[in-house]
Amino acid sequence: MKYKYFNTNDFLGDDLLIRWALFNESDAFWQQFMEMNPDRKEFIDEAKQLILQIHLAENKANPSLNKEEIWARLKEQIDKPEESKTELLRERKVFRFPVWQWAASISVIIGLSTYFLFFRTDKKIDYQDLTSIAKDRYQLIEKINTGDSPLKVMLEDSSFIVLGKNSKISYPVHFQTGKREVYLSGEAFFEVARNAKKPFYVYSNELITRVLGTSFTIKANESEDKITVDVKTGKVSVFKHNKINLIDPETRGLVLLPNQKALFDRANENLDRRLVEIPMPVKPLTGRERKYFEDVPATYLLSTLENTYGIKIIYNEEALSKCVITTTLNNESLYEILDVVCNTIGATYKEVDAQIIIESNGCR
Amino acid sequence: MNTSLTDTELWKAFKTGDNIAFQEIYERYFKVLSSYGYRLTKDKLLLEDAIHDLFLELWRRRDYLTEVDNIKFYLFRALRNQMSRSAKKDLFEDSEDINDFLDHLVTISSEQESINQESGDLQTTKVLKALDNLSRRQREVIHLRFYHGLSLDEIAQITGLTKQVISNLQYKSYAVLRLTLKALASFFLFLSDYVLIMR
Repeated sequence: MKYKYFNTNDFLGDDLLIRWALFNESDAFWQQFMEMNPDRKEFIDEAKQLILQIHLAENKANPSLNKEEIWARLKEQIDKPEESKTELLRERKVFRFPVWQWAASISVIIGLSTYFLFFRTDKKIDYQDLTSIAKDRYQLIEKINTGDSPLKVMLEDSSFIVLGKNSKISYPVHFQTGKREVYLSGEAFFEVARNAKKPFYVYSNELITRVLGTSFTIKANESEDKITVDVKTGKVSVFKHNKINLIDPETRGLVLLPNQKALFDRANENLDRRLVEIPMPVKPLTGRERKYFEDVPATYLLSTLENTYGIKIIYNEEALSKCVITTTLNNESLYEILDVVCNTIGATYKEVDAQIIIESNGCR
Repeated sequence: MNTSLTDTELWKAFKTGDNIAFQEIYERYFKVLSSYGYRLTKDKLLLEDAIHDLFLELWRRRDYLTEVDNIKFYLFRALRNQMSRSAKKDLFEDSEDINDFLDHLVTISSEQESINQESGDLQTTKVLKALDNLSRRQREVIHLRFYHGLSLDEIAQITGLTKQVISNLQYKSYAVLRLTLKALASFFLFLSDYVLIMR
């Protein structure tokens, strides 16, 4: 029987256990199993507890929709004397075609240049597609870096772009009112002048990056299957161009903070948040007391790190409060510091969704 | 209406044009459908419209629908399709949405806060907070799995994700959730000790 070797995670992934926890299905089986395998009881209990807690919490976050009103609307429509079926279908077809769809299909016939794009939107999008659409709307300036050294490009709003090797950028002669749009192929660092009224958009293949004022790096090579956005300062939102997704913008986008990066996989269209390889302090350590830690609770040091790097560190406060640490922070990287801390208190850490999770059994 | 009808029987009756059976389906599944739909959009009006359109479509096409023996699962899949269809947009319209994106996030978190305040239940509030640490997709999977008790296969069919991707999403979620909840458990242990001492 496979269950004999299951741990909590395995039980959490098991269809039957979930149905037992939620609906008490096959209760006799599980009772008997626990009796015969007392060493699994702890895992089963933990899994069941977690499931029940989630169920309880999810139950609290339900919307109150107007059930009666929706039914009344439905009833009115279904009680209408039914015309012959064919007529109904015909009416539905015409009714279901909103005007913009007609308009869209007409423009497809007219504009041969856009034709290509309309049929490609749910596949890959490249620089060529983006700039050809942009050209219909305004005149573009294009800068291409064919040299070996980075090329600095100044924009009219005093933002600047440092263009990597073999990379190109297009931008309008003058920005439109309300937004600043640029189009990138390849790699570039952006230092964007703050203007909250005029968000700055970078279109790079399937990914859109939107900022108000900040600095970040984008790598979007046409030939590569990953696009990354590394944030140095400020707040950056990243989205994918995608028609097949749900209407909720959150499923299409991420908000990135400093030391976070977005990784877009062009093949499976996954957009993931990670930490950058080398996190940098978002504010420098000030004063002696911040650099030298003597016999402080590990939690104190960790919350200092959290603030310094602006990275969320999740840990069991109760367990770690008894762990004491003495150390000096010099120029070690965040990961070097974490290695030292975890070695000292016998813990481990891992990165999940751009957060650090510390696992420890605590100290005595 | 005989409320002890199975899904299969109910669906058959509905397909023959029995509008009492249709209403029974609506009554039985409205609540779970709206709770799942709420994980797809926080826009209640939009969700109400989607549910309305979904049922109207069901009624009108009842003659052409297949046999169904798990109505909840069928409706979840239909709702998700319905909502992604209505979300189809022009390529450049995307950038317009983005303008509202940050505001949207702020609304959600403040909405969440008011829910938390109302509930007053510390434990549930903490779990909700922990759930908030999950991505949208993770949350959808957790919701289908632990709120509705759907199987891996069913979730794969509803979301169009592979089972492997769903398992990965689930494992990622546990890491975040279990830690938060462990902290919670020890807190409650502490609390109960404390209560004992106070006696």
